[in-house]
Order: sequence, then C-alpha cells, then structure tokens
Amino acid sequence: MKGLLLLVAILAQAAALQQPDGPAPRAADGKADLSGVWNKALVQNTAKAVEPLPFTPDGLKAFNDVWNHIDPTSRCIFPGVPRVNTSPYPMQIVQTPDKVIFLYEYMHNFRVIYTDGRTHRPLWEPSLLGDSIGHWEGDTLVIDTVKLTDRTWLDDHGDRHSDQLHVIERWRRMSANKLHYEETIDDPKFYTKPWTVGWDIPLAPKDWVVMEYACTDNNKDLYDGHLQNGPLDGSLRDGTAIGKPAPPRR
Amino acid sequence: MTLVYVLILAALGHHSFAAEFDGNKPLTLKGVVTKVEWQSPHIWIYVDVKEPDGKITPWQCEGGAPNALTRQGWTRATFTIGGEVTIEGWQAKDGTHTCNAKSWALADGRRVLAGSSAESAK
Repeated sequence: MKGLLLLVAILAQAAALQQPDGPAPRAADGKADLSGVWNKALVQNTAKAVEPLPFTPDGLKAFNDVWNHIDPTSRCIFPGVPRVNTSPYPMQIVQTPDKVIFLYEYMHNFRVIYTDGRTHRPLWEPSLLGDSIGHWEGDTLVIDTVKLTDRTWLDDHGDRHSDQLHVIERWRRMSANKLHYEETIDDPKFYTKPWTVGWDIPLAPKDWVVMEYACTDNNKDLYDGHLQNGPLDGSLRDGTAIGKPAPPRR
Repeated sequence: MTLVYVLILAALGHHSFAAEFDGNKPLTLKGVVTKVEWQSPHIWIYVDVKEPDGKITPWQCEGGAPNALTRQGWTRATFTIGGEVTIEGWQAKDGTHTCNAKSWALADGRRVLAGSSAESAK
C-alpha cells in the first residue's frame, strides 16, 4: 500500500513537472476565473486561417481600397471591437459575479461586460467599441457586440468591416496559463457568411502589470506628416483577393 | 529566448513601416545623443552624426513603445545626453534624416532590439 502511494506520488510529481500549468482557477461562484494579466500578442492578419474571405462586392471593394487610407490606429483612433483584442501589448481581465472588465494597455481602452442578463441598450449610437453584453455558456464567456461604426479596421492586414458588423467573442480559460480566444465576424454587408477565427493567449509573466500607452502623447509620425496610406503589414492589393490572399510586399 | 521573442512581438504595431520607411535601405548610424523623447506611442532618439568630412548631421530615429522597452529593462536614463549610441535601422522614404531603429547599442556594449514597427513588416 505504501509502495502504491509512493508510486502515485511520484507519478503525480512527474505529471506536475510536465504540466506546471495546472487547471483553470475557479471564482467563488464556481465559474472558471478569467482574471489575470494576459500577454496578448499582436495578430496582424486575423483572417489568415480562413482566407479567401467570402467577400460581397462591397466587401471586396473596401478591402482593395485600403491603399487609399491611413490606418485609423496610426492616427490614434481606438482599434475598436474586435481589433482591440488583436492589437499588441497585455490586457488585464477582472471578473466579478455580474460583470467581466477588460483593461487593455494599448490605447488605454477598457470594456465593462455585464453578465447579469441585461440585453443590448435600445439607445446607443454606433461607436468604436460598440454595445457589448455578455453571458456564460459553461466556462466560456460569450460577448455579443453590435452598434459599431465602420471607421475602424479589423486588423493590421487591412481587413475591413461595415457598419453592419456584429461580433461574437468567446473567451475560455483552458488552464491556469492559457486563455483561448475566438471571434466570429458576422457582417452581411461585407461578407456573404460569418467567419470565425481563434487562438490561444498566454498568461503574462508574474511581475507584469498593465502599463501606460497614451497614443496621443507624442504621435510624431502623425504630427510630422510621415504617415502614409496602406495596411500596417505592408500587404498589397491586386484586386484579385477572392481566391488568394494579398501578395506580400517583399 | 522565448521570453525575448514574446517581448519583441509585443513591441509591434501602431503604424506602417512599409509606407514610411525603405526596407531596402538599411543603415548604421553612430552618433551622440542630443535629445530623448520617452513617450508613447514610440520613443524618438535624436543624435548628431559626424560625417567623414567632419560635418555634423542631426538625425532622428524612432524605436519601440516605452512600455515594451521598459519590460526589456531599458528606461529613458539608459540613453544619456552626450552619450554615444549606434543605431541599426532603415531610412525614411522621404529622404529626410529620419530612421526607424532595429536596434540600439550603447558604448558600454548594452544592446536592445528596438521593437520598432519595422519588425511587423518583415
């Protein structure tokens, strides 16, 4: 018996070494706790895994028109939803029983997502971050966002959206050190059907905190007139985006 | 190594390298720091570069975000006014003495990747 216990202990220790990660922590109300500082990395072309995108004619026109515009974030306009989730720099999640708060370092954006059963606000003009409500499906936080303007882009690749954009985010803590993020882009004006992409986001090193990123503090590239048109990843548009992704610049 | 990689990735974003700088025109500048702007969204370091003929040319070079550089252990005080710095980067397309830094190196041997917007275009 003693030998068996020892064996179990050794196996447990070996498992712990293999997975120093551990299970997702639980909040007092029993839900998986998303709280923590997450090292959200930049995802430049969020649509890469599902290209070619199912463009409508208007959607393709907007995609090819990117080279006639400066990226809005270069002028310090908020990345908006969902791009705020794929912009660089960490974010902190604070979870309470009736809401989940997202604190983004990039451009100091924040979102308060209520999970108390309320519905979308009847009076809400289209805005950069839109109107978001949340609910839990098991351990997954599902966020539904509407009332978004068409002034933001989806990513650094210059993927676009219209004012009909409806975003569904799914956030799930897979383990202590890993968050899984998924976004569904539902925009009937620009895409013939919704498309979904997702990836993991690692927990940030223990001593990391969300820092200041005040985009308007010294945006010298804007003040000096250095900014030029085009997507941040430098990808070109050749007018044949259906069937193949935009060619790389070099 | 993984951590360094993550830090570099985390330092990207904000504006287009490809539109503003020429990736085909790499340069190395050695100069004396005259001014440091340690502010978001990107730091700017101003240097006086001595040409072979003795003439001094002022340059301005853009680096990563202060938050990303701070996480790599660099602060405003790392760059001393009057101190020597060697910059590897790329010149602006508009031909001005403006550059996008790939790395900063100090006279004492310390070196950091600038986490500049160029990384995202490569």
